[in-house]
Amino acid sequence: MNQDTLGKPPVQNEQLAYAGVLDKLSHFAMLFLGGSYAAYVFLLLPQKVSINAMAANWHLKASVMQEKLNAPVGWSFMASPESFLRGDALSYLAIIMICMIPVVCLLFTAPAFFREKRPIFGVIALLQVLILLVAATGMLVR
Amino acid sequence: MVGMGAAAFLFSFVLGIFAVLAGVGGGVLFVPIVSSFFPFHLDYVRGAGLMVALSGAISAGAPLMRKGLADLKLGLPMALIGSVSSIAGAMVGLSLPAETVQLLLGIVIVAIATIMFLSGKSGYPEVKVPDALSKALHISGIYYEESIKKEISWQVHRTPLSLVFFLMIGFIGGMFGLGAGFANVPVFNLLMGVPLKVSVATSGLVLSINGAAAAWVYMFKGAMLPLIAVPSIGGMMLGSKIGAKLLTKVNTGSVRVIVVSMLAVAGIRSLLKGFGI
Repeated sequence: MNQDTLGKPPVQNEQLAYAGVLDKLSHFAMLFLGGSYAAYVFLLLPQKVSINAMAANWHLKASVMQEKLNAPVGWSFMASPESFLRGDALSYLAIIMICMIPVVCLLFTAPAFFREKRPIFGVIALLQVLILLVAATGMLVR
Repeated sequence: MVGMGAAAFLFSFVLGIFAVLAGVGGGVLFVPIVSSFFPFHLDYVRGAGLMVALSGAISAGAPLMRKGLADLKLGLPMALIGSVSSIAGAMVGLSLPAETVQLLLGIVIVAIATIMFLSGKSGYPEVKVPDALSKALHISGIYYEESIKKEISWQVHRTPLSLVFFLMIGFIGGMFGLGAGFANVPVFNLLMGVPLKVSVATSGLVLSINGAAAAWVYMFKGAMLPLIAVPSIGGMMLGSKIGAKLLTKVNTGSVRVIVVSMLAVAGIRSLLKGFGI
């Protein structure tokens, strides 16, 4: 149904809440992604697994390469400051940050749904956060 | 070795331009083509493909949501179902032999190319009677259409059937590392009766959540290599921006034919690789 209109229709508050957080986080994550990758490929930081070793094995199935190189997986690079401050680990962290963006956005949006008297969507948002966090623990793939 | 990263960046850049001009997501082009022409194992290509699709959706999401085009009430129930199945799809995909996945990928890509070739789209579908579930959830909306300077109000039907479709789409997206916008949009638009622009924008929201869920499986299985994923993300995002600028200047119909042909070739190549040929 189309209608002539004088002004733009208002956008719901929960949409604006989601968009506001998404905007900030996506810009930050992309900057971090670029910076950490530059530190990785230009060897500004040490690496857990060298780029040459990685490239020599990237034709192998992930499980085989993992067994051979013990490259960072999941949260393993957070085990100690030494394993964290490495080029490959920081690049990996940037990917993790991108994957966590929907979680943070939904956590900010769920209260807005409850405030706007749309509790079903508040519950759906929280259930979605739960699913994403369960995936992030890695318990499903062990 | 860094040269291969640069090649992935350039290749993704070109794919990004074509993806926007053809109106398809980046992931659906990235996985079959990169897995056919680069030396990377399919596991890492699928991991990178998910990130390419997810990053594109995330970076485009905020303005679409502020304009009321990406709709949370429409997208969240679909994403909730799709994220569970995308995790399952990723787990199944990574447990199968590469040849099997390559063969199945070939079948899926050829099917997608066929659907893209045959399917239509509807700018403003009319839904006379919304279904009971969408009424109960108040899934409907209104947005301002700049091109005709009018408000467009919309409502949906066939929500339960669409949930089943999103379950399947999530599984396929997670299994093959595809963004699945190619499937989200027709389900929103043609099945549920959502206006095309709202369908495309909300598909990005669904894709960002489903992709984030499945990406963890790839990360914990060691199938996410920053060396491949990061330049691919950068190339695709930059290419998409250029593509968006070119959108009004080129014949998108011709580009769509080229992209469908590229998909068909990549799909057939995947099939042959799957058969060991």
